[in-house]
Amino acid sequence: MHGESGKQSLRGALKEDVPGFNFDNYARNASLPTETTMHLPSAMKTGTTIAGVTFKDGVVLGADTRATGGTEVADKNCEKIHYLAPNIYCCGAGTAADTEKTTEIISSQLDLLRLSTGSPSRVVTACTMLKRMLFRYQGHVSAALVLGGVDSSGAHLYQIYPHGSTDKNPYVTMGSGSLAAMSVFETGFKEDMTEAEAIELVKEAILAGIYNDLGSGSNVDLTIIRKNGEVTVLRGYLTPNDVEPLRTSYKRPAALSVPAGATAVLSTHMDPARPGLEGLVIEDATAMTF
Amino acid sequence: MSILEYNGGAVVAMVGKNCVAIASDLRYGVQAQTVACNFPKVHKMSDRLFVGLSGLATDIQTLEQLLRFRLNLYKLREERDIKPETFSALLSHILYEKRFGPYFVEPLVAGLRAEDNTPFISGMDLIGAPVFAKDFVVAGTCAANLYGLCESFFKPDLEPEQLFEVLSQSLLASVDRDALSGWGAVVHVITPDGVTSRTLKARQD
Amino acid sequence: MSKSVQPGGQAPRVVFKKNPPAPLLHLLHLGTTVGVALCPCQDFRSESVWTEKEGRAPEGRTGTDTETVMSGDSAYSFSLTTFSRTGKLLQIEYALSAAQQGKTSLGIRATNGVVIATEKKLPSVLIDEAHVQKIELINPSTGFVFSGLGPDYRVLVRKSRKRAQSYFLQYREHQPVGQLVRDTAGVMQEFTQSGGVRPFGLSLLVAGYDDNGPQLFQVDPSGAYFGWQATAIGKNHVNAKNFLEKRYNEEMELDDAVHTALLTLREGFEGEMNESNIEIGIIGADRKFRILTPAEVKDYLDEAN
Repeated sequence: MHGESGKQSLRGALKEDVPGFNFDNYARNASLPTETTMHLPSAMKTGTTIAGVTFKDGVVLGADTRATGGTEVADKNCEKIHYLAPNIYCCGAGTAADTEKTTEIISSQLDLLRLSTGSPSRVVTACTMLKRMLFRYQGHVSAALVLGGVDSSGAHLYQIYPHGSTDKNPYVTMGSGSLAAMSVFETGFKEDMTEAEAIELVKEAILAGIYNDLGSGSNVDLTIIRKNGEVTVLRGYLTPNDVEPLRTSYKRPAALSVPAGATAVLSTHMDPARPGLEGLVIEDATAMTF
Repeated sequence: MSILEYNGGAVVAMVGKNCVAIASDLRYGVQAQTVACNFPKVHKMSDRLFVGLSGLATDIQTLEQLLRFRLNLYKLREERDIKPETFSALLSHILYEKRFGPYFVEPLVAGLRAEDNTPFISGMDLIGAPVFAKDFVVAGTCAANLYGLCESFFKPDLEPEQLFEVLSQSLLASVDRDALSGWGAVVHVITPDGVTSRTLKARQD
Repeated sequence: MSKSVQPGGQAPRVVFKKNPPAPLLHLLHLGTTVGVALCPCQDFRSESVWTEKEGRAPEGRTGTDTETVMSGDSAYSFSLTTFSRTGKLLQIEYALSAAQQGKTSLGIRATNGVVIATEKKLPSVLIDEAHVQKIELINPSTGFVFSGLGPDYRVLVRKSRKRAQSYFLQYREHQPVGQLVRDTAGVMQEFTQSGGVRPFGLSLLVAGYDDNGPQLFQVDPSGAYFGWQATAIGKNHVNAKNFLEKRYNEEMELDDAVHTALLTLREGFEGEMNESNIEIGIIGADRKFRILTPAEVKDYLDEAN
């Protein structure tokens, strides 16, 4: 998006707050796989089970909390239910950074819209803004979303695919664990459930993903948005895979506590704190000392 | 081989009680050939804030200079030190801006909060998806090894000296089982009194 | 963190194209059109274009009739980017006059918060007061009020809100009041030095609370800004400031400040002050700026009576 010449690129790199994506490294990165034997790395994914149902008085959104990098668990307790507006939340599956930043950007735009219109955001507005953004990037921004919220026209639940298509359904699932979760919904969903029934159903759906899908794991997060405007964020609603209690319940073998002096040190340098100088020291960009 | 593994390297950060530690190996290689063993991947951003950058060496250096530039501007403009959380968000923003032409870098952030001396750590993938952990974050060619070692050795509320030993042993054991990292290590322990930086004696093979 | 392999190389290689030569034709076109114009403003613009084209300094050109026809300060009032001989930028001073003719607004910084207040008197009783809003929220911890031109204010509010959002997206932290004031003042300054625009015909009061505590700022059309303990802008600002100087004390708490704000506002108020012809915005230690509802304003007014 910045200019093509080297001079302009440098200026682009040093400029803050430039809107839109920056393609400075694109040509270089594209040349790597062909000119060397290098492969381009993939970004962190949220394999993910996310789901939502509407019930009598609102919507319940649910998500697991595993993030993966390839087959490695990169985060055991990540947050996948993102805030969009006081009355709207959004679960994200796909490339972790994309779900995170896309919801942040839309949340910001909704905030501006609310300030200038002076009225609460509508779920359909959030849905349209999200799908427009995703469609613009033709699926390259890989975010699969479950959008839920309440507004003056009732409770709404949407699913949004990475290419920008959307569905509006009373119960939806997304992510690699969506099939597991949907099997639970298809068996258990009823019209006009109570809040407790809806919470139980979503919990079971997410658990189905956690236990049957490798891309999903750890805890169940829930967010309940009610038609009366009340919102309950239940981060860590269920933690069936927490290892902390197990680890603290037995005495660790002595080999697992490192005694003082175990590490051979070649040199030590102590930089004392400089209270009062915080924020006043401007450093050169050259020093690489340790 | 992934481009992230081209130069090799390992970075790890761990929290303790009112202290936090961050460490890296010292190898700079070109695939299997070791070129230098004085290439630290952890950089001081301010008195109580460090960033560890693993991945492609050229991008590590570019990003380190870019971060210093942005941080200096921040300090001049706002006349205060950046909070670790804020720095982490800024770094994530910088990385995601290059979503479709990323820096091949996986960064870690470690810092002590000015208000209450509580530790902060975060990790990120190459396009800025943040990982906030309450125990440790790892990155580099032996990330899997580091996960294993840290999961075993880590204990909550370690004092600075214990934290140093736990982190050092986790790092040393990890890099010894990775051909692409090692050749020395440097560990920074950040406490309210200051930062203690130590170079470790390590295998040179 | 990630090690999985992704098939690369599908991305097209970027071909570096040379940029087309600078749009000289465009310049020529502009030069000729403006060359026949009579307006001194356009004539001035044509001079710079002409310089670029011919590669000569503008002084080399003979006979500009503006010099002979006009004299004194009025000769310089045609362009806001031109200094008068006495070193003034007259358009900016006129903009300040516009601000000082606006309805009075004032602000007081207390120990635990800030209050800003303004008159909302309308030229006709037929106007629906409920649809006039002068105090605006910019980010959760900052509010604006103005004296001067309402439409100009909306532009500024929109720009500042956008700036605050952009700051939040970058740092995931709300923009501190001082930074927001500086950026807003920067916009106002830009409008005193750019072509094709005029300065904002308003003065701003900014109330906010951040890590540096409660703060009150004033920004003028020139882009100059100041921090205050208490101040007033608009029609009655001189009297209001005198009044505030007498009433202000440093131990004042937010409730007292609101009280004092109402008393000050009443000093210059023509007619009866009520909950629908004034507006009050406050921010306390919770760092949440909010505009008081008419009912809350009424309560304060009743207390003051």
